Amino acid sequence: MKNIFKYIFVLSFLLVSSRIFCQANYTHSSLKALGAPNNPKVQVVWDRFYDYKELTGLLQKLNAAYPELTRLESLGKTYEGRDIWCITITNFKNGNEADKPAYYIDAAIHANEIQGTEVALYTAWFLLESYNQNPFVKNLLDTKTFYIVPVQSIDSREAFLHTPLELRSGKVPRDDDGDGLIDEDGPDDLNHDGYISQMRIRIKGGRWKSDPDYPNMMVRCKPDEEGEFELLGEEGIDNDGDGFINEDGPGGYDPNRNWGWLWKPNYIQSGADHYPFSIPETKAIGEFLKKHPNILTSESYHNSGGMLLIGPDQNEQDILYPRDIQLLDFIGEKGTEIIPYYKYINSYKGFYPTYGDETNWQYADLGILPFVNELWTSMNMFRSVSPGREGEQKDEFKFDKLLLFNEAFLEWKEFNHPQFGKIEIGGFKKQVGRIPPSFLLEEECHRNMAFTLFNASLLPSLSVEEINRVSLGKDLYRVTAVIRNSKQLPTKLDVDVQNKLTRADWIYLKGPKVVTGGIKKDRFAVEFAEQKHNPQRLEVPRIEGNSFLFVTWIVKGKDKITVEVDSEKGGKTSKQLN
Amino acid sequence: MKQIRLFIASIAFLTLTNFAFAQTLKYQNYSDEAKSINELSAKYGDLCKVLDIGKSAGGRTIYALEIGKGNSKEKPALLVIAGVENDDLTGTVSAKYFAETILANSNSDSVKALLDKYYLYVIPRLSPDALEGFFEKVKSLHIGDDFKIDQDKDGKFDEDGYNDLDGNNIITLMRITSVGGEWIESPDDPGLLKKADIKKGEFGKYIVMFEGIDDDKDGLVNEDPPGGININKNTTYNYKPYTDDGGLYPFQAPELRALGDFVFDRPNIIAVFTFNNHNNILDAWKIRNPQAQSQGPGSGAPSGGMGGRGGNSGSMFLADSIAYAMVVKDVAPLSKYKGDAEGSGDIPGWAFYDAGRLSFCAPAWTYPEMKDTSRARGNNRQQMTQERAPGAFGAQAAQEKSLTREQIAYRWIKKNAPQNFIEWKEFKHPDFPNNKVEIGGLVPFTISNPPEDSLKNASAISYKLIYKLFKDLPDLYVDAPLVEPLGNGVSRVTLTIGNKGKMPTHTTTGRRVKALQSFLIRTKLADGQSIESGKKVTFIEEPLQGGGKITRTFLIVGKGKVEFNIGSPSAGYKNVSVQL
Repeated sequence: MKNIFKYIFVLSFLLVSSRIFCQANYTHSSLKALGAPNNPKVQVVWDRFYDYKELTGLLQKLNAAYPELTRLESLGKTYEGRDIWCITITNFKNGNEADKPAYYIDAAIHANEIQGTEVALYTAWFLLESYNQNPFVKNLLDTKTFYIVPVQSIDSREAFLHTPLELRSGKVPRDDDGDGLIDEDGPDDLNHDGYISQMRIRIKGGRWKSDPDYPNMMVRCKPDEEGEFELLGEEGIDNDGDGFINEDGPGGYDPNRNWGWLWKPNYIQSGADHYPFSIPETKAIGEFLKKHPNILTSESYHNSGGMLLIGPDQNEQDILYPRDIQLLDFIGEKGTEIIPYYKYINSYKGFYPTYGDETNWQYADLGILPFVNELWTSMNMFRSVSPGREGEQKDEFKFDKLLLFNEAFLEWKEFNHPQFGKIEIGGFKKQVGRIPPSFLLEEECHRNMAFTLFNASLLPSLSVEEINRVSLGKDLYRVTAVIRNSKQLPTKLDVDVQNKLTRADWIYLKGPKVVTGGIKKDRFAVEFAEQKHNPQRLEVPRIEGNSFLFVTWIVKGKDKITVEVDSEKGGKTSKQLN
Repeated sequence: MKQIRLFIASIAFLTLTNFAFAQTLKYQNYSDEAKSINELSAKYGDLCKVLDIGKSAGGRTIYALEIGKGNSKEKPALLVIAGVENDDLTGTVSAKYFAETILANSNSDSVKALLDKYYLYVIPRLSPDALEGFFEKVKSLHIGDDFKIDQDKDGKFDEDGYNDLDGNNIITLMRITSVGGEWIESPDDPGLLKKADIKKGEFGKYIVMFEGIDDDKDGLVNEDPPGGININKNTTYNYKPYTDDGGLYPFQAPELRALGDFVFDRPNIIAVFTFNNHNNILDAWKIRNPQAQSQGPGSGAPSGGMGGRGGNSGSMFLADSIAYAMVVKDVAPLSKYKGDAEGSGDIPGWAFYDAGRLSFCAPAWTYPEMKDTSRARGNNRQQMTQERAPGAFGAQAAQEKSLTREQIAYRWIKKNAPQNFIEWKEFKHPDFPNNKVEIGGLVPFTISNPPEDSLKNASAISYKLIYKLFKDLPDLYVDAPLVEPLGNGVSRVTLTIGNKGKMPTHTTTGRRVKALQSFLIRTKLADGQSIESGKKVTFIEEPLQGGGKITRTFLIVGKGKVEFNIGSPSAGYKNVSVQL
């Protein structure tokens, strides 16, 4: 009798465990759809936006679920006292985060460009949840460090999500119109529908009319047409009685013009504020970036337009060095394959000069290879864009009608305006134009994350390939070593080497006493360029991508040798010879 | 008899109180000066407040004196800044002297009238770290503040500083005879050095650095000395990146952040005077046509091109260039000390172009030029960047044919105080066994700082100049409004607003950088009144220049009292009313 129970027990144990271990391609109930991690510890849906409280909770959950892969820290407080979160992701068991090449991501420096936060959160979530399932991800986290700041301008992003405001700026108060009152006249949600829309007034002879296909859409009249509307601008009233409407709302600067490279005052670069890093959020992030010289590549999420942008952003100094441009070109072109409809553009030549922005500072002062992703393109709506001046707008109305069932547009409604009299208020909700709808948000997250992982996989990977020792007699030995960077990115960019932004890469020989040493010209040469001072620590400006470095020492004694490479942006590696 | 004795006694008393402290001007280290500033504010408590405006890189508190009465937010103000150059102690003395003298004379009619109308801010020592080098046992010029910079990028900070090799307790220069050197003896002033100019057929002879040895045995000498950032090279105006002493990016120096916050929080400051090596009163800034765009496409484009700034010298908005020229003309006769060419990233340039205030600057002291100027030829120096030898030497002459302050100092010192020039003497240097090494040069701090007994004279000269600027602040007045009844309860009210100061009510630059507030007329009506023509809040964007007048007209319907409040923090305020 007892044996039967034993049998049943063992059988049922096997049955249950086989179910557990056979989970590879199955979620709880069915076949797994490819792409997302399998049975994630932290369940998240990616068809919506997360506010400060929610994203704080999500980051804390990820940190708790993966304590050996994450560290969560606050870089400082925003103006309104919220934390600027940074999650560090790497396999801490395989080395300190500072000792590995690092990739930096941030989002929502412009608070109205909200979906970058979801992309950054998705990236963090995906990396962690895939670590144990995907060898490519595992290798990334073992050998590289990710620093992810999901929101820069938290205060105003919060306002975007919870109030009618649509701020690009942060929330530090500024007297925009110079009347001594601060933030006294911003936009007003006059009809209390939760949005700041447009105002129009019916005037026979006005130069605007309704579009015949989409009556809600305002189009300009042709020269021989008589119109019936005038547009009055953004919803609002003259709050402070100075004759102007909405001239001094919350904030009043552009956080992405407040950085330290080629900063220019307001009459050359509007939004620059008082001086570089005068805004608490930019200051906090600037300090963080300076403290982490292992960052080699960065990515900032903005919207919109579907572009991968690179500098330089101004004409005064063409600061990009040729070989750095080559790297940017290679990565950028690949990005346009990963994210369809995105274009790879040099932002100065493609747009307008901007001064004092984040990514140029990262490049010029910190030697970081920077990318800006302008998320969302209207091509995403119908995989094409309607022609004509109003083509894109028409597509939005079509999209609203056929796929959103008129959710996106606020119907024109009458309103009695204290200054203008009987007007109408209406327009697209602020989720239209720059932000994906729910069902396209996850795609935007995944594709941009895929670009990140491709980009990060190019970070340098250093190894000591071989160490050889040859006796020269009299207890002297020639020790040669081959150091390899098996990835495309060099350990330092040209801008870094030319302007000595960071320290040299060091190659130590530890063990026997070093008489002299230096870099060898190539693999088969014997002669080397002697480094007379401190040869036990050889200094090279950088280790190129996809290359080898050959070093030689003359040492005394047959002690056990360790060759150690210590590169600020290339990471650390070592090898021993007995 | 009693009256005469009383009279004599009071004269004596006044003389003593006015000038007693002035007889004992001294160079003070940071803590002594801080103490005396607090004593000053204790003495004149109702007129003078000491503000803590921030901390230097080395952790020293930066003080500002706030002098005036009433609501400072409503009174135009002058800001005086000193302690800006890494070797200018005289400026700190003169700035403090100015504050003390104003306070001591605050009961005289003239000063009283000024302090009724205006506020005065004095920051005697904006960058306190560098100046301590004067008081150290081994006197040396510091690069700048105590900001920790790993100059040679070896992972260590400040590990290879200067060394007093010849035992005279001062750090001077070392010149190393070497084929690869870039420096030669200055032909006009053989004790000084200048960069060889190939175009003139000059071949370099020396490598030059500050006195020292290779402490960390890395092959470089003094490549990572203590400090820091030279704050007069670290502002956003015309900032030059990738220098040894200009910081990693503009406004990295905490002293400048403190200054920036201080100035932007005070839109009543309309003018700034800075003690520094440059004199923009005698060497007036070039005022380019502000309508012209800077070179190259797109520069200055996004925010409107007028007065766009690019390249090496700015161009001013027209109204501001008029104001600047007017004040310079007024005060130039009082400016006695020549300066060197303006550097990049300097505070006076920032104060105007990036903070929108009328900006004036001059040295606190320059030696008198020696009579024999027959060999005075143009002698343009370049900045030393390669040999990592920062400091006052190597400055550029203000004009093509003029002398640098260093040359002027050298010639005077050679004749009158030869102990302040260390003659070049050979030294057996362990790091350069095969080269001839000589140590010598001007004793640090001597270019900008006279012997102590000359301080009072120098400070009195600067006092007159700054006092004139103070008097020139804008002085708003409003004539009695003109009322013309037009019948049916409609009145035309005309306001005539004038400025009898020399400086304008505000600057266009100040408005554009959003540092100064708009000049406004706020109209308050009685119940039942309305404005038919004109606005309740009238913005006057164009600065009202010194000596200028403008009129504004309002059509008002209804009876009652109309009140006008006119002005701005930088212009002051005036109130008028009319009874309709």
